[in-house]
Amino acid sequence: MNFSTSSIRSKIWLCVLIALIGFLVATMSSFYANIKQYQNLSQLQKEYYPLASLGLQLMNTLELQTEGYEDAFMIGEQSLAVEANEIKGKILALIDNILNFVRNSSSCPLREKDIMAIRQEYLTFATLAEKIYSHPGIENLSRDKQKEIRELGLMQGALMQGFKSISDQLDNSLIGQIEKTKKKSLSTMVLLGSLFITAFLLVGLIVDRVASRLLVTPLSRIRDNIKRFSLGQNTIQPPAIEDSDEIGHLAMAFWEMTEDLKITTVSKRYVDNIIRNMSGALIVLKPDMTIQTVSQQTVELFSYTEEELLGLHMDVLFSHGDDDEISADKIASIVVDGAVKTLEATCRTREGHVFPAHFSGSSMYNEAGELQGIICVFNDITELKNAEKKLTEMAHYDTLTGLANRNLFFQSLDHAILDAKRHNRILALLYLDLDKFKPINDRWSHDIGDLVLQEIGKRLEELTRADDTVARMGGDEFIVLLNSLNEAGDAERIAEKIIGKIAEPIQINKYSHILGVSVGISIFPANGDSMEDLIVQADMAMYQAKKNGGSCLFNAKNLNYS
Amino acid sequence: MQKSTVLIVSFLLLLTTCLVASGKEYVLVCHKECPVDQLTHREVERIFLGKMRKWPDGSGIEIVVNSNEEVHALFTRDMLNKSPSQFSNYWRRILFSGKNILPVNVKSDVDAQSYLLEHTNALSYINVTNLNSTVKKILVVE
Repeated sequence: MNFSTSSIRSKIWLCVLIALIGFLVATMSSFYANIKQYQNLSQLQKEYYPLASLGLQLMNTLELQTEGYEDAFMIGEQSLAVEANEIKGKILALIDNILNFVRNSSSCPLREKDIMAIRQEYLTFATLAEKIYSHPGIENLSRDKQKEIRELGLMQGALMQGFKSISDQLDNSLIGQIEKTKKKSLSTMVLLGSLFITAFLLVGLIVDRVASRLLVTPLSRIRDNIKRFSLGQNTIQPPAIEDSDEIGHLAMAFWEMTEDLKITTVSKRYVDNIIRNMSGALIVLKPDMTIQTVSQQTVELFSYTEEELLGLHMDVLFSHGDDDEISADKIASIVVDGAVKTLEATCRTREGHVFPAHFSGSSMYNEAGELQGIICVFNDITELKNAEKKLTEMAHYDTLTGLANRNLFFQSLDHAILDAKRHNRILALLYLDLDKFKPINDRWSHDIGDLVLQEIGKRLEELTRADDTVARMGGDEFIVLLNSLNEAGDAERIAEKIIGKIAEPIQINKYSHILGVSVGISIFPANGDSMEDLIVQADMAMYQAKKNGGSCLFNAKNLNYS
Repeated sequence: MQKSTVLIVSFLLLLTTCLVASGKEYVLVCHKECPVDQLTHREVERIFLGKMRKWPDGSGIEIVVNSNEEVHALFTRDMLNKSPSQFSNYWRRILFSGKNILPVNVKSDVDAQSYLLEHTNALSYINVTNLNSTVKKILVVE
């Protein structure tokens, strides 16, 4: 079967051939059955039908003869009797015909013996009849003569019965033969019918098997491979093929294609995997700025479900803060410029939570150069922002007390001096140095010392206005910038307040710590119009106050430069 | 054959006319010891056509055809609705077919009565004027 069944053409031909063989078998058997039928009918026509008519003929002829005798007897016409006598030969010939058939036929129900007997009977009758009716004598029949005639009548009746029986038997034989033929043709019909059905089913089954083996199985192997391919699974190498096997070639070509594609392209699954696992939130926009595709990261970042996001205008993701670098125009410009990189944007989640993000976008074109969409990537920069803020704080604020550090203070002072010069206002610098702080540090610990410094910072902030700046200059030194004083004397009053407030005991862990502070005051513009001068003056004044015993103030205007 | 039939028929017609004219009638007679006194017209017909062959007691009926011209044609016409030749042919056909032999034939009323005397089962008919005590008259009822 394998010699030429590899091409589709030969496979189909094979199926057709099987069907044709089935058809041929059915036709041949029906042909054979018809010939048989023809033979049976021919036999009926040639043998049985003439025979049946022979029986009838026999009866009719005897009737003719007896009618002749009857007429002769009734009217006494001798010539009629002579005519009737002549019929004898005809009847004997008919009987001999039947006898011949009976001798030659195996299936005839008649027995030769019976026919011979009835032939003899007829001969007796005919001889007697010839004798009696030749001289019928119409009148004065003697009683003996009457008896003879009566005997003859009875014999004639018996003969008629015998002939009728022969005729009936021949009729029955014909009918039986017809019945037999009918039955035979019926059973042939049934046989043929079942043969047809069987052949039909068998051919159907074989064709189905063959088609399944030769066509369906190889095709379903290809289909399976296509399914695998569509699911991103590895395809299975098809079995070796013959040159003429088109399906095999197709399977092989497809498999080779998948193998080639494996090398030259990446599967969607692979890309999806990349997208799913990339750190940034990926959003692909349609040209009309509605969301077409999102990555898992996007869903998590914005707290939307994927279904909710798809089709939304991407504007809903932005909070549009004042200092945002992103705007609708900016996004639209991506289309023109091709790409934007790491723009800072304020984004808003589904719940309204706002967070900073870096936005990058680039437009995507197909081979024909038409805009297909915009690929956007969001990176949450909350952490970055926090770190940035912390850095800034570290640069301008004292980490322990949260007060401004020297750097910020110098900036503020610089600003304030410029401001005061412009508006002719008075500024004051209070330079503070804690008294009796070192013993606390020594006696307790630096932790306690730190807590004390924080408390001091807090008290200083409470005592000053928002305009004023309190800064820690390092160690236990602080500086206070009093902005826009009405008069220089205000500075001393605030300094007094500070001294008083600092002197109040500081409660830490059940222990009270008592400190003092020495304050040096310098006034702008009275003690200098530069930052450096003012600080130096205040510092010097503070030293004077310390010299004076601490917990007091000293005004730079009283410094003796001698 | 036709000629002779015509002759016979015309002869019989003439005879009947003569009989009726002379007021002669037939009477059905049998042996004195015959168990039957009367018969229906239909029974008579059946008996003389050979279809009823036994008396009610089981003894056979022997019919005697009286060919006395005075009564024979009258009887066959009246009882059997046949001409004498039809009647004769009827019986010849019976004989021919072997069913029966011909009935006894007598020439005169005297012969009939003498035959009846000797045969107890016999049945015949004679001119009513010749009826005497040697035989028994059977009444024909409808």
